[in-house]
Amino acid sequence: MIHLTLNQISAYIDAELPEASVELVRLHLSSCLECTERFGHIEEQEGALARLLVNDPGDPFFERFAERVLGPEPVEKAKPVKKPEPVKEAGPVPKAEPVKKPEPPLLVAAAEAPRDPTEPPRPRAAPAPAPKEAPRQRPAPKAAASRPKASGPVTNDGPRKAGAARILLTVAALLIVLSAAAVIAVRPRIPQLSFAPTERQVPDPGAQDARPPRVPSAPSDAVPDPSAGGSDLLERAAARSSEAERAGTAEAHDAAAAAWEEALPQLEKNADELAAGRREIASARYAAWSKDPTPERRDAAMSAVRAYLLCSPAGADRDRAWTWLAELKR
Amino acid sequence: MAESKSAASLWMDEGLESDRVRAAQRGDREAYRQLIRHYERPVYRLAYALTRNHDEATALAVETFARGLTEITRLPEGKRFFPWLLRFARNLSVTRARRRADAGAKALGAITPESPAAANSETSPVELEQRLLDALGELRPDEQMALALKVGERLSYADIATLLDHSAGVTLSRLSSARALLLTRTREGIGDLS
Repeated sequence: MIHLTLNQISAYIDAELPEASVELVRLHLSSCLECTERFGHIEEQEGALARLLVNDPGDPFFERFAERVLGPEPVEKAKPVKKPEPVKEAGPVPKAEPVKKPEPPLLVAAAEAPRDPTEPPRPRAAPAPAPKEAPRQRPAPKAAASRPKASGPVTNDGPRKAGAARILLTVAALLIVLSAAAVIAVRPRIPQLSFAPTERQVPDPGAQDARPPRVPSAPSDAVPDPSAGGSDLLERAAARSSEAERAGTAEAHDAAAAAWEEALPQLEKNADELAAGRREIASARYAAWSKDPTPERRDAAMSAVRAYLLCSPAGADRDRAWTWLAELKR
Repeated sequence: MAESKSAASLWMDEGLESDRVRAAQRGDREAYRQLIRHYERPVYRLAYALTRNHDEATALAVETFARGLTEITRLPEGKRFFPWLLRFARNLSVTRARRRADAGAKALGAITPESPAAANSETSPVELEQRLLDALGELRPDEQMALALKVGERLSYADIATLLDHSAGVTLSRLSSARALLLTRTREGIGDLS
């Protein structure tokens, strides 16, 4: 039997075949198991590619994109400062944009000699600096999740009124965050949290100390407690994370990761919470490896980061996880 | 079958674009800002498809527009801005990938990474995505560009051909070869794909 070529399957999948050829391909697929299987593989692959290659950073990102190239817009064209949205108790958690210093415009003077655009470009003398990795963030209550993004850097080129409005917005945002923190302090039950990120310190992989590698010791409390309920497991995991932050040791981060792994089944009903749980595990595993980079910790961290990447939504946390993976692969 | 999207929404009105380009060539930065505002989303999307990383994509998109501004006086009269700009994105992406590879090679020393084993027919979606991520870097730049515009923008072969300045047949050929390579890297015993 003559099989379909990959060109034919590609054109069929992309709806680029003439109608007469479409019928022939359909007819063939209905009788050829091998081509049907290959067609199924390509369709599945296309679905995976659509998930891997497509990302929408959202309108706020593009509102200031041109500034990265050209610098701020002239004052008379500056957009008014938006009012913060009201705090919501429920609903989807907005993506947390990492707070970054405004980058200087990449291009100030175009003094380079003219050249053919088809040639590979020369390395720039002053490329845009890679943004410094934002501090790791940790779960916060939903009230805090919808805080406005007005607490970002205040540009020094806006009119005075806009500056005052931004300061007010910043204060309002801080008040919201503080109230949310108070809620956590009173009732820190993870199922009620939305895993919206707040500040958290993640060790800089470049700042690894020169201690000899050690075999990670299993934390004494990593064995599941059969009597522990779901919320207890989550509370304990959150507590381990806090302890790990305070202690800053690889063992403490190992314990936090183990506690989150144990609690993970409690989060499986909700995709967002599952992703947040996997993020906690990846973060803890990566932190443990950063503190004490043994091969075992590297394997555990890579596995955890990959697991998180496969379920994580696009955004700053996912991007950060990619940098972890790159560090772990080195 | 995937329906293609019209590229019409991507393009700025030709007369307006020509006007903005001429103004930018005279040094009007606000005119160039308008070109950026119009094309920033597709350029970012393409950059993301090429890099699979938000920060990298942002840097690549910014550098693409910066390069476009540097070279805007060389854009020939009557030639559209967007396809011309995409060449910079492609070339800069190649340069960045090369730098990353060099840095990775230095970090790894003489160790050659093992190529990932192809999966069997029961590959889970998770494994498939991981293997695809590993294999995407093996595609040639022109294949990556065609795949990025097909998957990211869902453009027709004719539209991709216009943007990349070749024929629709070449678009089909590049997409097919890209898919074939990815398939052989992710599926065990897939057989002859020529």
